[in-house]
Amino acid sequence: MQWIERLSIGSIAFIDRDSTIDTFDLYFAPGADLGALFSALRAETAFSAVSDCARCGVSLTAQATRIDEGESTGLNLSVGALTFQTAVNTYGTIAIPGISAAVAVQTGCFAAYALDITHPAVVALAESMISAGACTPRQDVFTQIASGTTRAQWSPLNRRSG
Amino acid sequence: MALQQTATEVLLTFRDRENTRATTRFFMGPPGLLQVNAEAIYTQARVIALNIAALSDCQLVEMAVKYQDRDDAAAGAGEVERKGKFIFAVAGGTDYNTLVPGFKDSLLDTNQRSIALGAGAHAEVTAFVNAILNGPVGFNNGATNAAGVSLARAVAAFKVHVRSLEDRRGRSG
Repeated sequence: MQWIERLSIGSIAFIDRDSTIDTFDLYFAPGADLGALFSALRAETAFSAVSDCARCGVSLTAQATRIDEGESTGLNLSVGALTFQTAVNTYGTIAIPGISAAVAVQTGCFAAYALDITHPAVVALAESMISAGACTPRQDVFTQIASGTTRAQWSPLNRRSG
Repeated sequence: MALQQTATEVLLTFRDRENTRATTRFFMGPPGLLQVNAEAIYTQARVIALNIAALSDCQLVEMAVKYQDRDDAAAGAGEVERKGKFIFAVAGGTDYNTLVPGFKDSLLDTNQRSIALGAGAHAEVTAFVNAILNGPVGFNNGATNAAGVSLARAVAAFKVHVRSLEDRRGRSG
């Protein structure tokens, strides 16, 4: 399993008097301490001081590419969805493109398939997410699996038959 | 109001057998006070990414982790379309251009077009250039161009206007 770290992108968002938001972006070489870099971007004043607009956000995006990926056998039209219950009884879902048939289970209702939430690979994913503090965008922390589903997704591409 | 921490977004890109790309995302907590958990979040996100990839017949090819803070109370001012364009020489390669949204008119030269660099520059402009070349305070590593090559020096700067994506209400100025 090999990853190549790519450039990180630091971004300062500015909002103007019409509430239009635009960003000032910077690239940083990989290998930097992400916490130190994000702290420095949050604390910066030199970038904001040259603008009339108000700083309304700061972000840092760290990126990596896999270089040892093998051959894809699936289509990303088959999507699995794993839904988690949170500590405050809300729900959050993660979609899995190209869901493998190995982790699907037939429900018997119109030959529909669901995601097998007892499958070891699904359990491993759920445990890794819960232990890492995965959450909803509002930071409701996942506590347990609620359900697993699969669906076919409309394709934006002109798929050839087969 | 100050910046508020928001959830860290992890974006994964998969490639299927027809080379079509699809993305999915999930969220993790913010990196915490002084961002001490940023590296740990990145490591955990990679583990989760591989666990997600194990459920897919498509190949996971890219991962991006986005730490993000927001200030929803920021009172807007200026116009983002009024840019300050800075051109930097690169240590071997084509020049690197960057645009500052809403560049202050008060930092322009008297001709209202160019931006002085070097000896006659405004202090804010000098600090801005130094922050790009050396990195923001507390982070002793400067910005690069899109190929990861270090920026050597600022060579020119001037004001530009860009077309607005917004439907501006009738107002001059």
